[in-house]
Parts: sequence; structure tokens; C-alpha cells
Amino acid sequence: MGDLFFSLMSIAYSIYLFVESSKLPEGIANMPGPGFFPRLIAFMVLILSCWLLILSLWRFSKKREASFSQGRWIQTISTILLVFLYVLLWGKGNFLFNTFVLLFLIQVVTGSKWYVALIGSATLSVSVFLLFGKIFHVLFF
Amino acid sequence: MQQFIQGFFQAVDPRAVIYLLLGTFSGLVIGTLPGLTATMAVAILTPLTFWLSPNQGLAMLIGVWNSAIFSGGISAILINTPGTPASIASTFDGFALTKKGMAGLALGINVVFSFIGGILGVLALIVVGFPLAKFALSFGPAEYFTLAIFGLSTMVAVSGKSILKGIIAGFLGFSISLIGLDPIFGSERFTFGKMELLNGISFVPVMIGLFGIGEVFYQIFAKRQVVSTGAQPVTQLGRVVPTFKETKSLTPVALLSALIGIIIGAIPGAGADIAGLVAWDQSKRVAKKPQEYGQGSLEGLAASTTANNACLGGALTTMMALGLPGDAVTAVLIGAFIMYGVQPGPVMFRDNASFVYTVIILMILANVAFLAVGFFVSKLLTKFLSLPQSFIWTTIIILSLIGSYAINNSAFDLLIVFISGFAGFAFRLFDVPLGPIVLALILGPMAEANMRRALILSQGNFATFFTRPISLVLVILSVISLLTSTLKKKATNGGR
Amino acid sequence: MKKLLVAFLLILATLLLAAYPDKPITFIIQAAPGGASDMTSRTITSIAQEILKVPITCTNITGASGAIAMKKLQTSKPDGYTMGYVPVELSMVKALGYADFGPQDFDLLMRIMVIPAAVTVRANSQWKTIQEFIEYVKAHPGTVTVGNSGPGSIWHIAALSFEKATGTKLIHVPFDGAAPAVAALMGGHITAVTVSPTEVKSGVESGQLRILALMSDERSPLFPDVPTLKELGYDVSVAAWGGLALPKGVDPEVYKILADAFKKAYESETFQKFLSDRGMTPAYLDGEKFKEFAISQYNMFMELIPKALGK
Repeated sequence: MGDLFFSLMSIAYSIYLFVESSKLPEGIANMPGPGFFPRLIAFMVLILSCWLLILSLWRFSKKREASFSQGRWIQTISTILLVFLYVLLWGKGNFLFNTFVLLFLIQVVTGSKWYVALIGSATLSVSVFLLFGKIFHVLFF
Repeated sequence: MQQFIQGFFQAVDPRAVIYLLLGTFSGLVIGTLPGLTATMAVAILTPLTFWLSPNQGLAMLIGVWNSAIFSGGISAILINTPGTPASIASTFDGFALTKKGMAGLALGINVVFSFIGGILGVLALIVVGFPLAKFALSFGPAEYFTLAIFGLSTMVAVSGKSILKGIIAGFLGFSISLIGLDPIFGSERFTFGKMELLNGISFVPVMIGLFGIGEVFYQIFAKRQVVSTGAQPVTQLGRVVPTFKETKSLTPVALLSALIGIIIGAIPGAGADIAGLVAWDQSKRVAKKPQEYGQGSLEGLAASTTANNACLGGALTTMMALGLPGDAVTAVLIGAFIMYGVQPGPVMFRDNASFVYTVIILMILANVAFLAVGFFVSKLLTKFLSLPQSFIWTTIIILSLIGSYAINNSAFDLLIVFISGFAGFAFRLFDVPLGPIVLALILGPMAEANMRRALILSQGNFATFFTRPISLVLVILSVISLLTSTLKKKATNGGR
Repeated sequence: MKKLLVAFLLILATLLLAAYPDKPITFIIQAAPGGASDMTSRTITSIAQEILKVPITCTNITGASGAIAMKKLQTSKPDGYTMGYVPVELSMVKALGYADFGPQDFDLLMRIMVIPAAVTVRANSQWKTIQEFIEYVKAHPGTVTVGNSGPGSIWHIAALSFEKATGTKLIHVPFDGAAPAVAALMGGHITAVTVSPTEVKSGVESGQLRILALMSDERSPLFPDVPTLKELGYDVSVAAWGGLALPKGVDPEVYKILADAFKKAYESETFQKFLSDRGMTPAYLDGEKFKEFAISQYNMFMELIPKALGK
């Protein structure tokens, strides 16, 4: 199952890589130009992923792998979205506040009691702010 | 002799020792935090040391450098995120040991073997300094290309269960390293007109994303605890100091890895990250139980931790004997030396011999310093793992994000670390190994640029890779390495 | 009474004006920690903060030959609390196609130093003087390999300008920075380099390398015996330089405070020693003259780079 997804994705990626690299000059036979390596890599990815695709189809018909449904999808996806939102909102609002909210929500989503999460995320965000912002002079907002 | 005594007393001056300890402590903090690298630490401290006398300033910089490389291994072991790129290979076995409930011992191995590696590196500097530096100079573009190929041949060994997926992952990593300006013509590749992409994707955020954030996402998904208390008694966590028997049985591996680390360190442009990976692979090749590598082998961890600290002695050799940087940190150190009124290079041994001795003795003291505080700090840090699971996860997430941002103060790097984190999660889901990706990210650009550079020099003649002796040896080694590891893998995996 | 009031107002006014600077100044460095730009910036700011009595915090922003950092500086608030280091690339990035600004888009504070390109070969090579070298290259066109610090870098431009001025043909070998190029020269993999004297200083002092000529208008005080290409009749002058800049539109009072403080820092013994130790030629220009200079460089690169790189 995983192999199938992975091979399909890399086949798509290699085709995209081919299209993009065709805009670059390839160079002459013994003096490779900027486009030589991108094309070579796209070609290798394509061939190898096709091989993997065939193998996984072969295996797929023979045995079923453990499905993905066992994982905690909701928690994982919420965490990923929260981090994404934090990155998107970087530079807007207040650093301490944004960080605190991110950490608090992730801790709650991943199963902390709200008061534990409150203390945990407050300590963590303030320490990060002091350590990076004040000692290492990182530019926050 | 008089020079030696003078240099010795410059190094053991109490104020110098205090600054050395201060440096060791700062290095511990900076090295453990993902994103903040040893190079950055030394560079930022360098102007501050100009207000100190040379021996004190030097003591601080050398202290930071040694302990940052050592402590990068701590986060590699505890949270699967290399604190500095030098510790990438330490995640393979270090984190596997943590998952088995042996975090304490893994940290102890990191302390002991970083120390052994560091000391062996300094010994190399003392004993074979000049010949080693001369050897490093013989590396031209052709040799760098074949060295990169030799490093890339490690890919099979770091591929985990499936060689095929590992190699695909490696090429994916290679393709990402192509982004930015082409190294020879300067044409833009895959930059989509974005200024941020002109210099390519920075390596550190990708590494932190794949290993740190990706691991957290996957742990949340798989309900997995960092420490599986079921498999091993929890008391194992507390034992940090490895027994004499353990240390002794790991010594052969350490010697081989130190040798690899020293040579790679001496070659300009190849640093501790490559040293750790190559040493891990080579020691796996000679190991009695190679199947344990990557599953929590003490040997594998000893190999990578020894090699990355041994690298420092090698890099320092090139810097002092030639005046050329052996890696990124020594590039900064050259500037510091010049400010102290000492020009690194062969003349240094003639005009400033006592300074050379000061450097050597400070290097030894710096290793002793982190050996002394390392056990204590390691023991303290294992407590981190007993905190609530969701607190550990958020700590890793925020340190990975802010650490990546801190390198360049770039919001773009934040996006990179997020995307890499997502990719790291997906790859774990699909059982795709991450080792080959970082390997190709480090070595891919080195291979491409040097192959094209070598062909410019040879005017298009490919024979240059086979007619130069070092290059030929590396080609042969790569072929052997590929064949043996493929066959071994076939044998252990039952033909898969 | 009236006099008193005037005096009071005057004191108040000076107090208000003297209020700058009253909080930390952010200093943007366009290169990674450890390089020449970074060390110059960190050294001069560490002295200037003693004079200004406020901390100056240095921040490294890298990428696109410094264009990202300079863009950030250009778009910062011109309140005197953000300033930065600007290298020769300030005049190059537009010609290279990396960004759309030039020196005219900043309030330049001062020029600090210049580093001319140095034509350097191995000390055991057959060429003792630059004339011998040029004659050799002329006799063997397209065989002499010259290393530089990367495609489109100032040292690449230097080699291209050398070709143009002497009417020769070289093989250009770009490396990833100047240090690897010097390593390749020492190891005998290339014939010459055209990088800064800073990078080859150690090799020259230990007798492994020889500087044949500098590409500057005048001889360098650091290498008084090395001739310039100009004095030999080749009209070529290529140098890297560095200075300080503010976003456009800074209040003249604030500008003056900064200019005075940094001039004092520049003149300090510590900083002058730093420059000569690192092989950089001190080359102070005040803001006005620096702007003139940077714009003339800008015009030169706008013409030279597209032709040279075929962009």
C-alpha cells in the first residue's frame, strides 16, 4: 500500500522534473551543462519508481499490508494544520502569544489536561522567547 | 622545549581555563538545540573574544567548538533531531537505543566516544600534521567527485529494509539539492523566480524537518511513546556510564572511525557530517553483527560519535599546516587567529610555535572538559524523557521551528522546515528511509559541481577520474562498497 | 523671564533630539557568520555601540549574493534603528538579475574598505612577473585555468576583466567560495586565481604562493612591492568593497549621529588593526562620495555583467 502510493508519487514528480529541466541547457557530450544532472535524476527516479510500482502491484495481489486506519488521523492532521497555520501567521500578531497558542492547542489535542497544557506551554514559550530572542538575538515580531 | 612550556602555561592559565569552561557550557546549549550549529556559535563568539587576551579567547572558542559537536549527539539520541549536522549518523542507532529504553547508555557512549575521537584527532594533528595536510591538498575536483560518489555508495547501507526505495529516496534528495544557482554557469534552476531560492534550499531546516518534526508527527500518528517501557526495564534509563567491557569491545570500531574522521576532516570542504555517515557505513561493513546497525547498535553509535569529533583534529591540521579551512568552523577560526596576530599556515610553526602548543593543549583540555560535564548533563537530560509525552512533542516542534528560523532569520526557512516535516511524516508512513535523502542532499552538490569542474580542467576527458591515483582508488572502493552491501543486504533480507 | 523660557525650550529641544538612539539598533549582515563581511560588521559595530551607548545587535540574513538582506534593509523603517552592511554586490545584484534595486535606493553612510583582486600563482611556477604571465597566456590561449569564487562573483568578473584588458583567453573554473579555489591552486589543480589578497595572504607569507599583480588604481599599502595592472598599462580595476547603509529617507539629524559614531569607530586603533590584519585596504568615503562611487560601479556592472555572462 505504502509502496504503491510512494511509487505513484515519485513517478509524477519525475515527470514534473523532466518538464522543468527540459528548459535548461543540457551542455555538450563531455561538458555537462546545468540541465544534465536534473534530467539524469528525473530519468533514474522514473525508472526506479516504475520498477517499485510493478513490484508493489505484484505484492499487493499476494498479501495485504496493515492498513493506515490504525493511526490517530485526527490528532495528527490537527497538529500538522496547527503548525502550518503558525508558519503562515509568522510575523503577524505577537510572537509570544502565537507560540503560546500553538503549543497549548497541540498539547490539548495530543491528550494533555488543559491545566497541564496551560503551564507547560506558558513555560515553554517564555523560555524559547528568552533564550532565542534575548540571548541569541533572533529577530522576532 | 621552552616554546612548549610557554604554550603550556598559556593554556592552563586559570583565566583561560575559566573561559574554556564557559565555552564548553555555551557549546553544550548551542549544540543541543537543533538549528544552532557549531559554526554559528564560534562565529558569533569570535568578535567578543577580541576583548580578551588571545589564550583566553582561544580557550573559549575551542571549548565551544568541541562541546557543540559532542552535544549535537545528545539531541540526536534523545529526540531523533541532530543538534548539528555532524550528528546525523548518530540518530540511526542513538534514537533506536532511546526507543529501546537505553537512552542513558546511549548518551554515555556519546560522551566517552566523542572524547576518544577528539583526543585521537588531536594526536593525529601532533604526530602526522604536515604529511596529512599535504595529502589533503592532493584532492582536486576529480578526487572530490569520486569521494562524493564513495560517500553516495553508502546509500545502500543506510537504506533500511528496501534498497530500491532507499535509492529512489536518494535521488529525490539529490533533485532537491539542485534548486538554486547552477554551480558552474550560474543559471537559475527550479527557482520559480523566487529570490529566496537562488542559493538553494538550506540544508539544516530540511534535516531538522525530516528528522525532528517528521518524527513527532509520526509518533502522534502511531500512538508511539518515545520510550517503550515494555521492552526494557526503566532502570536502564538511569545508567549512563558504559562499563569497561562495553568500552573495550567498541574500541576497534572507534579506532577505524577516528581514522576516517581525521582524514575526512583534513580534506577541505568535507566536514563532520560526511565523516559520521561514512564511518557508520564502513564500520557496519566490518561488523560482526551488521544487522543490528540502525536497530540500536552500540557499535554504530560509537562509530558516528567517534568520527565526528575526530574530524575536528583533522580540520585543525589542514588549517594550521596550510592556512586553509578544513571545514566551516575552521574558516571562522582562521579569522580569529589572524585577529590574535597569528597567521595560520606553515609559518605559524616557526614564528608562533608556543601558540601552536597552546592550541593543542586547549584542544585536549576542551575534550576533558566535556568528558567531565558530559555525564552529568546527560544524566540530567534523560529526565526530559520522563516529562508528559505531549510536552516533549511540543518542545521538539517549537525548538525545530525556531532553531531553523534562527539560522537566517528567514520566514522562508520556516516554510521549508514545515514542508520537510510533512515529507518526513509521509516517508515514515510509506516506510521510505530518510538516511539516503540527507546523504544525497550533502553529497549531491559536491558530486555535480566537482564532476563538471574536473571536466573543465581535463577539457572534457572522462579518463581524469581513472588516471589519477587517489581518484582511481576511490572509484574501486565505491564499486566494492556497492557490491558488498547489496549482496549482504540480499542475504539478510532473503532476496528482497 | 523671556530669556529663561528660550533657554528652557532650547534645552528641551536638544534633549528631545539627543534622545536618539535610545533603544538597540539592529544591524543586518548580508553574509553567513565568519566571512569577511560578517567579521568587518561585527568588529565595527562592537566599537560603535560603545560610542552610541546602545547595543547594536547583528543579524545574519544570507542568500542570493546578499540580495535578500539588502532587500530587507531597503524595506525597513528609516528610523535609524535598522542599518546594515553593503558589499560590492549592492551594485551587482540588479545586473545579475537577482533583485531590482541599486545603490540609489539606500541612504549610504560610509565606505569602509576596498579589496582589489590579486592575480596569484604558485611560488614555484615559472612566472616571476605579471608580464611573463600575460605573455604565456597570450602564447597559449585557452589552456590556462583560473579559479574564482563562483559564477557571477566579483572575482569571476575580475578574471573576465583581466581577459578583456590584456586580450587573452583563459579557462574559468568557478569554485564554491574563494578558499576552495586557493586550496586548488596550492594543490596544483589550477594555474592561477583572481581572488582577494586576504585569501592568499597566508600562502604568500609561507612562500607557497606569489601575487603577480593587483587590479587596483594604486598600490596596496599591504603589498607595496606588488605592481598594479594599471601602472603596466592595462586599464583594469576590479575590487570588492564594503560599507554601511540605511534605508532611504532617514532623518538628517539621526544620519549625522550615526555617521559620526561610525566614523569614530572606523578611525579607532582596534578597527584599523583589524583591517590591515585581514589584508583589506582602509578606504573611508563619506556618504555623499560613497554614493557617487557605488553608482558609478553600478553603471559599470550593468554594462559589464550582461556581456560577460551572456545574460
